[in-house]
Parts: sequence; structure tokens; C-alpha cells
Amino acid sequence: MLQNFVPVLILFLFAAAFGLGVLLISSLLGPKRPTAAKQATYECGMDVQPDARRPLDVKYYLIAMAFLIFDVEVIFLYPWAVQFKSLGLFGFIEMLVFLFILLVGYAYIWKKGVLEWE
Amino acid sequence: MDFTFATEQKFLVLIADIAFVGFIVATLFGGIVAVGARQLIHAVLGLIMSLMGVAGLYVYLGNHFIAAMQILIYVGAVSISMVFAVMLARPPEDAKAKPLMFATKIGSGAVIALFAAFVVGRAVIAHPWVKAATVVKEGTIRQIGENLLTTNVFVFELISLVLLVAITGSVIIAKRGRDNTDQQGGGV
Repeated sequence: MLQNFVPVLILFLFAAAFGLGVLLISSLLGPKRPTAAKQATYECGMDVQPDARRPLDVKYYLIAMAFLIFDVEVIFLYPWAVQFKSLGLFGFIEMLVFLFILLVGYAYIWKKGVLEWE
Repeated sequence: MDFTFATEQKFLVLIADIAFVGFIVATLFGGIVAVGARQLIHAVLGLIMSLMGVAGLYVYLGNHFIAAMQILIYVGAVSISMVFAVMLARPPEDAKAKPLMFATKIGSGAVIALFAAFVVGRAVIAHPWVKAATVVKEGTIRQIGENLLTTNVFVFELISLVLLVAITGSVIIAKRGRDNTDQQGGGV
């Protein structure tokens, strides 16, 4: 049973090897002529004004919360999608109700201006 | 194991066994990084590694739904919210806590480890171990889907209500906190 997952594992290993390999190759082959200007931290071509570690606006967190909620929603779509055919129309309508209730939440955060980025 | 495999299958089984050790190492190493890292964000990354390892172990336990859930919710959502919490938190210069004494660290760690070992050990001893069915029940996800949308359909709909409450609650709390900081003249 488990040996059927070995291709998935190989895919993971390839993905990791690609990511690490590109970094490694660029550090091995790339020319290194560091100057003070190149080594400096920059932000849109300018010097970084305050410390990077500072509290960020709470609206980032609201977006993260919205993502979290709909991420949890996806996990419930998964078993339904696998069993879609045998559940039939009843399951489909059930899922529509489920999605509609969450859509109310989506409408709420939209109305509250969470998604707006002034 | 008393399974018999064809020769070309045996190689794959060997790889799967090696990967099992890899997942355990990832879980433990990630956990150590999560506890020991000086930078908070490194601790979060260590936790992500540990959770990925645990997701791999769930696959070995034959529960692919829990593995998918682990990756989607813990690695995906919870870790993201932790990263955001780190971003929102005050810089560590402001929030200096008195570090625990070394002996206190070791002592409290040992107490917690002993407690966990005691609880798990009791359960292991008390459990009547029967030989597991060699055929892992195919399609646990199917069963979950079937149960969720037929027998427990009411619970299923309640889940969406709970999620609705969670999302409105988070908006209300965050908005209120935001207004407070505005009154104090703070906020970015």
C-alpha cells in the first residue's frame, strides 16, 4: 500500500532538490564582487528607514484569518468531492447550503471593508 | 513484516521504510528547532517542519484524510496565522522576559515529559492489542465523506455555522482593537 506513495515522495524530493540546487548553483557559479553598496539592505532602492521588526497593521491579520477560515472550508470539500457520485443530489445541495452559510461570512467581511486596502 | 512482495515492489517498500525514518527525523528535528530557536520566525519554521513530518507519519498510519488535513490546516493555515502573529507582535527588545533558570528549564521539561510518558504509557498498556487487519481499509476518505453528508449532515452544517462565528468574531475583535489603538494615537 505504502509503496504506492513512493512516486509522491520522489516528487517531493525533486521539488526540494530543485529549490536547493538552484540556490547552490547560483552561489557556486555566480561571480562575487561585493561592495559596500551591494551588501547593504535596501528597500525599493532606498535605505531602510525604521527597524524591519515592528508591529504591522492588523488588517494583514484579518486577511490571514479570512484565509484560515476558507482553508478549513476546503478540507470539508475534499471528502465530499471524493464521494461526490454516490452522495448524489442530496449531498450536492447539502454542500451548497454549507457554502452559502460561509458565503454569508464572506459578504460580512466584504461589507465591513476588511478586503479594502485604502 | 510478514507481507510478501514482488522483487520490484520490495525496492519501493525499502524506500518507503527509509522515508519513514526521514519523517521521524524531520518531526524531531523540527520540534527541537521550534523550541530552541532564538529568532521567533525560525521557531515557526521549525514547527512547520515538525508538522510536515507528522503529516508524513499519518500517511504511514493509513489515514490520508488526516494527513491532508494536517498539511492544509496546520502547515497551511495555522502556521500562516503564527507568522502573522509574529509580524503583529512587538519587537523582542520591547518585550523582554526574564529567561528561565537552566535547572528550571530541565526540571519543567522532565516533569512534562514524564507526565506525557505516563499518560501515553498507561494507554498503551491498557489497550488490548489485537493484530491489525492486514488490509488497510481502502478509502477512509470515502467513509468520512459518506458519514459527513448523510448520517452526520446536521453536524456538518453546524461546522459552517461555527466557521461563520469564527470569521465574524475575528473581524469584530480585530476592528475593536484597531479603534482602541487609534484613540491612543498609536497604530501604524
